[in-house]
Amino acid sequence: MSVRDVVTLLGVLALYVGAGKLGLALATINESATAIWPPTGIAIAAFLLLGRRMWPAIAVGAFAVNVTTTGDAVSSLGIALGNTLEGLAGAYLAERFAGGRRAFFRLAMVLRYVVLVALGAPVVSASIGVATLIATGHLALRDVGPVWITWWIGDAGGAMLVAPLVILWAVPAPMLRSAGSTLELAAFALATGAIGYVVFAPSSAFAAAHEPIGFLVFPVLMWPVVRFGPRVGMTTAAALSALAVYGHVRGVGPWVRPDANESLLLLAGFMATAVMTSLAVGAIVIERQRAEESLRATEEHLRRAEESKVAARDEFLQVAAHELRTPLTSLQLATDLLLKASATDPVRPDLLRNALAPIASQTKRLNDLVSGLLDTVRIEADRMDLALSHQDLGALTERVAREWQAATPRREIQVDARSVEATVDPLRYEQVVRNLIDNAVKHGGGRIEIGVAQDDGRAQVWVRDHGAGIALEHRDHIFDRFYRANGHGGGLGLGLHLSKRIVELHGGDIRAEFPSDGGTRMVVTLPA
Amino acid sequence: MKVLVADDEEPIRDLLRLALEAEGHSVALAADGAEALRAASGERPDVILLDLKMPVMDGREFAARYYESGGDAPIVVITAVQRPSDASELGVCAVVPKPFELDALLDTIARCARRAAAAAT
Repeated sequence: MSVRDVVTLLGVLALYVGAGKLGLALATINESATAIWPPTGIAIAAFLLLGRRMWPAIAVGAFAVNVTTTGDAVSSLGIALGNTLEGLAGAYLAERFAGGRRAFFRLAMVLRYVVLVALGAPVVSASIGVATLIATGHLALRDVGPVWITWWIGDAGGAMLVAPLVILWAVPAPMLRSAGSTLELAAFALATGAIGYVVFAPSSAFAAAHEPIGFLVFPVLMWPVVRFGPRVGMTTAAALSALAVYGHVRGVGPWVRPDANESLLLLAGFMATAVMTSLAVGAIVIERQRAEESLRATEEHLRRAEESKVAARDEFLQVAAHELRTPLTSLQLATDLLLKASATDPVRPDLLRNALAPIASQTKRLNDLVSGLLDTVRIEADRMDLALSHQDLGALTERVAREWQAATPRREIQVDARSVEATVDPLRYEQVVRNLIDNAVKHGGGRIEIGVAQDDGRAQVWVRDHGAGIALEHRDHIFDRFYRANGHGGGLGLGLHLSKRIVELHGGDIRAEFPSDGGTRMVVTLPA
Repeated sequence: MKVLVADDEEPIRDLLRLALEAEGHSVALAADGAEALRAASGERPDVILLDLKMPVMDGREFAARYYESGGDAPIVVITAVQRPSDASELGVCAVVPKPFELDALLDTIARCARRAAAAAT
């Protein structure tokens, strides 16, 4: 045990004994049972804030308070046991059910704290204490009822008034954004003092006459909660309660009745109502602020998402415009060239051929771009319909591969396509294979291997190149819409995105593999 | 007159070559900025037709390096980007947005060549 621990224990002990002496000063019925028993609150707060290891301070403190009052060591031991167990039970219940030290920042937790901790834990102490008094001959059996009730009410008062006060000052509360100014705080303190004086002070004529004006305190109870938060709110409730108790033991205030028990119940009822209302409203204020903050965060998030969506669309339009203009440039160049040439002489056949070839190829390219855009729009709107039929994927794949081999005679394309039956839209399937080969030709290098095989009841189709592969930073994004690994001339960045969506529409999936000996291997798996 | 055409689009390069040769110019071709730099130092063109978006080295960087290394041929930028920078910001003679009319491009080339010749004397 460190010096620091010892000091903490001694501090809690001193606080507990002080609170006990204060409580005893307010004793009315029996010398060990008082109207409000602040040590209960100290014990619960100490266990919650500093841990269960505070038990020696609480046990010794409780024993000291009682033995110095009654002079009876045996009964004091029993009562001290009850007080310690009460604190432990309160802390346990608070942590288990009421959010522990953060119990006063949520309405549901406040209510649980009041019912389970403030009203529940004192049952332990009142029962053990009363039993001890009977066993040691300090209490007659016929007095058990009122003494138990008084004991329970006193401890509940401590748990309700003192524990939240200590905890709210020890635990940083969420700051109120609309907190009032220092000037307002001063005005509020003045108003509270005035009303507290009028209602409870022994020298106040209203208090002396027991005028039923206790309701006057509610405005000054609510004001600080709403404007300064639960901490100042709880402090106000505690201060007014202390004033009420002070006046009460001097026989003044709205809660004094000829019958002492009735008086005590009224006073306890007032304090419980005041504190509970203050705590509940405090928690609501915090909750409302939190809800506003989360709403603001959501709005901000939505705004950012919308902005980035607009930016992405804008960038896409830029790219689309560039990609559409590029074939248009060739088309216009070729037609201008032909018009110019035909204006003077008959056009030479080689010039004619050299100008017409790009017109044909660039027209097709424009059409492919437009189709890709339309496919994207359709697929994003879930309006791409598949014309499914039974197909031999091997045959389909081989045909596309042969087309490509004819178009790129310089590239070696190896096909190993087994006959695998599957239900697909043949045009969409070919579009996917064409796109994969297109990528392998444009971005990959070396030999291109294409295969179809049956694997575990599913059709597997792969296209592999022996190029440089895909850089690490691009790998996670290659299927993203509009993502182009190579910034320029790479088209619209739709190919792989569309392929993935088409394969998914077929109930399959597509993935990229990066074999250790280089290149990229795109694998499509389809239900066979 | 010798014209260097730097564009990563093969059909555009080939068609520009046909069009310029039909006008009696000689033509050198480059598919990116780095190729264009090599061609520019070897061929010493009178005018350079330059695409902006090119792999390896883009047109902007080509222009900067070309003039840094003492090149003096006027550059005509041909680009399909949505809002091309203007000629003075790029430090070139003219910017022609794609697609363009062939005659308009030929006029611009002639104008830039004349201006460069006038500046040289």
